[in-house]
Amino acid sequence: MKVFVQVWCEIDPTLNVRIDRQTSQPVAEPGDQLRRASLLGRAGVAAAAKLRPASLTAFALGAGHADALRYALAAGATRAIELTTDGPDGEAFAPAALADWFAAQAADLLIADRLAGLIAARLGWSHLAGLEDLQAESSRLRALRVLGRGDRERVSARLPAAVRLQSDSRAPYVSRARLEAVAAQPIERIVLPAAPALPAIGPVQINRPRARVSQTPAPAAGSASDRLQALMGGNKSSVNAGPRAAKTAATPDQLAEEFVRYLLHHGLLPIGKR
Amino acid sequence: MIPQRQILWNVPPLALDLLYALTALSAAWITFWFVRRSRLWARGSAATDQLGWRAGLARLIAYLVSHRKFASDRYAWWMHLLIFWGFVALLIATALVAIQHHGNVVFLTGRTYLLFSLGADLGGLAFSVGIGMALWRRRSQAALGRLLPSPSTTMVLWLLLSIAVSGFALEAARIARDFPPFEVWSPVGWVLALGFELVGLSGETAVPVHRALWLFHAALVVGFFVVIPATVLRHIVTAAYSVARPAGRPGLLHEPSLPVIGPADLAHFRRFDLLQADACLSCGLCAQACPAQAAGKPLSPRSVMLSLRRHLDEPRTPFTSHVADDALWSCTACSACDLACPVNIHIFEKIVALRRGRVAVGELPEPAAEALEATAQKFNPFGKANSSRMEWASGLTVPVAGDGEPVELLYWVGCAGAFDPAGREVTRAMIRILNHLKVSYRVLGCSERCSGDPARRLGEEGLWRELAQVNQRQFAKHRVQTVLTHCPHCLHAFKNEYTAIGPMPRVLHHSQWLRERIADGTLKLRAAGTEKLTFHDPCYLGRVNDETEAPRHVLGAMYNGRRVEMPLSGKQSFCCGGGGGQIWLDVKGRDRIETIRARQVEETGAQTVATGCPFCRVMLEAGRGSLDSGKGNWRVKDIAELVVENLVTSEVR
Repeated sequence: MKVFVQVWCEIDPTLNVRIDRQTSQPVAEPGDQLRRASLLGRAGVAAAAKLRPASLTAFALGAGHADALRYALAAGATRAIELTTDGPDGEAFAPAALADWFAAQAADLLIADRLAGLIAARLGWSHLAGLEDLQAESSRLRALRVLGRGDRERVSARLPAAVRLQSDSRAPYVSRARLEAVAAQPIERIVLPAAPALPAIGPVQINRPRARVSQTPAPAAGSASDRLQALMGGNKSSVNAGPRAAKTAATPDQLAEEFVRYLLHHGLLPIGKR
Repeated sequence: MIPQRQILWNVPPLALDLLYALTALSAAWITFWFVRRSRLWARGSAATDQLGWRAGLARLIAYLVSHRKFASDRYAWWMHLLIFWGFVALLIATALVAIQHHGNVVFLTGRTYLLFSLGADLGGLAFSVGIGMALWRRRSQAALGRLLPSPSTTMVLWLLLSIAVSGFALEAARIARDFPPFEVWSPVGWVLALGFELVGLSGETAVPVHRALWLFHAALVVGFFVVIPATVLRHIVTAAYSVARPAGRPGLLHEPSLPVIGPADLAHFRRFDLLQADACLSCGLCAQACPAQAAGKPLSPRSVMLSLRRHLDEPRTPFTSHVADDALWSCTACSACDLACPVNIHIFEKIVALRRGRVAVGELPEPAAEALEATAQKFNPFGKANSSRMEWASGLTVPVAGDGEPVELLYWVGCAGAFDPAGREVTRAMIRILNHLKVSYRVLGCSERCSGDPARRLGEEGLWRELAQVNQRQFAKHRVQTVLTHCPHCLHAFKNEYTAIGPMPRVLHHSQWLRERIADGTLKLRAAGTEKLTFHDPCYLGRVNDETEAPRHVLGAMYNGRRVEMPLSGKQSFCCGGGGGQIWLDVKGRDRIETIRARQVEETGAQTVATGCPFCRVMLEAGRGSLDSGKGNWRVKDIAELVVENLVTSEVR
């Protein structure tokens, strides 16, 4: 089994950060460390390592994520790859080029942030989000999907799949000795073709956004927003546990709200893009 | 009649040859066992300090003469003293007999023989009494849970007692043959011989009895040799080596020679640590001193040592199958076990070695992981932005060291002093004192980072080293001459552990610095009210850094005659429950350590409990709050806060 996990460095959201007027760059207060290896990326590596895959590749989109890649290597990744583009900033990825690259790697499982949905859509892979406790059995991925307010449901998907973990998944601590042990391990650099023009996120999908894994409808969650949150990755995942309930009819307003949030979530609307 | 006897009288030559052959085989077995075992010890890393044999021997002799480490337990002191010196007397007597017999020299004659007889008899008597005491303690203390049931140890004690008694019986049978008058110098043998005579075993009838007893006694002695390696008797070798090495400071950690990147393995211990696993007597003094055990938590320091020994017996099984995680994470790092151990085993260091293995594989309790994550990312275990380190200084004039500015006296605030609300009060009190005395000092402000002490004690060696190097660079950059801190954990890290990495300036605990100011007359204190006060010795000030006088001296200037001591004070102080990362962890027990300590404070009747550690202050306050209603009518204050209350001036109040 080949697993790819996206890792990245992010600005520590708990700090006071200001924008330097001269450089337009974020600056932390004196004494603080601005960036940290993303906890979600680290949780992804830990979840992938638990699957005991034959190969576990950590990758980062763009430069400046070496620390996160080192964390991944220390946490059990067998390879670390920094993907860049041949464009001017090296970070305007063409979705097609990214998808082609993942297809060429013959990956079985991709654990990523928002990228997971994009790749799943492009390659027709299964897509699930809000997951924890991943388990792989032969050609299927089983996991718990967090519905919010303590509710969880068991889901499974056919591999290959692209998934996103629950955002508050806990990243296990990686000791300094392990980080030091991988300090000399190489980080591969792969250059992909850059996107020709903005928007770099890619065209609106014409096909169904992701492969579905079962025809059984998922049960209703406690509220529409929980349900939406849970179903960000797909609304036809198979549900093997939890209380079964008939799908409640939503009002047109709720449906519209869900649709807009769905588009926002996937960056398909120009506003609110992160 | 010249007082002397025929050596090995009535012993069949064949039996003697057999005894020698079996003794040689036993010696080979003992050698084989220790060689095989030493290969396992050798899988540990080499100690950085080498044992100087002369100094080691001097330490061993001084230890054996005084038995000072048993002093806290008088019964054990007498018991082991009698066994040891009795054994030595018997060993010398046997050696003299062998020299006379095989050296063809007769010196055990006349007065020398009489003294020899008396010495051997008294030695045997002391040995028997000591063994009897050991058997009695094993019986009485097993019921109390201090001593673990150990059939092999009980068997060994009975074996030793049998050797001693059969030796006396053998002597009695020899005397009973013709009652030479000078044999009254063998008083025990003489009395027993009278008993033999009473039951008709005298004259020639005693001869076959003597021969049978000799054979029985010889067989027991061979049995003694055989069981040495496999039983507690191995401590004759291993514990001797353990006490020959410098005892070291309790709680002091040594850097592992290899980075720990996987589960704990023999290679993660020092060879000496592994040898000490075989030196453990399982006496339970460590368990008796352990606050975690007192609170019913799953840790027993003795079990850790026995688990380490089990791992030596079965090196292929992982440590996790021998030591439960809950036990490992219950340790408060107070080092009471280190101090209590009669053979100088530093148990806490073994616990940290095991913790390192758990941290290396990321399997540590979530609060500990959060504290380490925060220390790594934000340079303090409280998880606060390091840029907010100076928030405590609001409203105070605090000079922060400029970039590269030389600093004569650096006041090290510490993480608790900067972020914990109670700790901030201590820091503010110290600043008031420093400003009041118009001392030239600086703080590092937001450049200060955690000393790394909690990280190291939680098993994160790499993070400790990283922080230590950064802090040492800060000290060097400012050419700091003296570091002043009110945190004993920072004190210990700087004074005793940073020195393994590089040179350090002079480091003082605030109680020591305040004592100096009182001594030089710059700090004048008035007598506090009429309230009674007790002092809680922080483990890392008293036990680990031997400083029990300075805080008492400072408190004496304010509470002279009104200071009462808790039964567990000074180096024997009882932990507050917050060390070793326990302020973040909370392994459940039937009681809470801080509550136990609060009860001890309550029993003194003091209205104030003073301490010299911000963590102790927090924990004692928590303990006070957990007491039954109507109790806990006392306050917890740091020494610095009490000094501010009693400064001879009103401007700083």
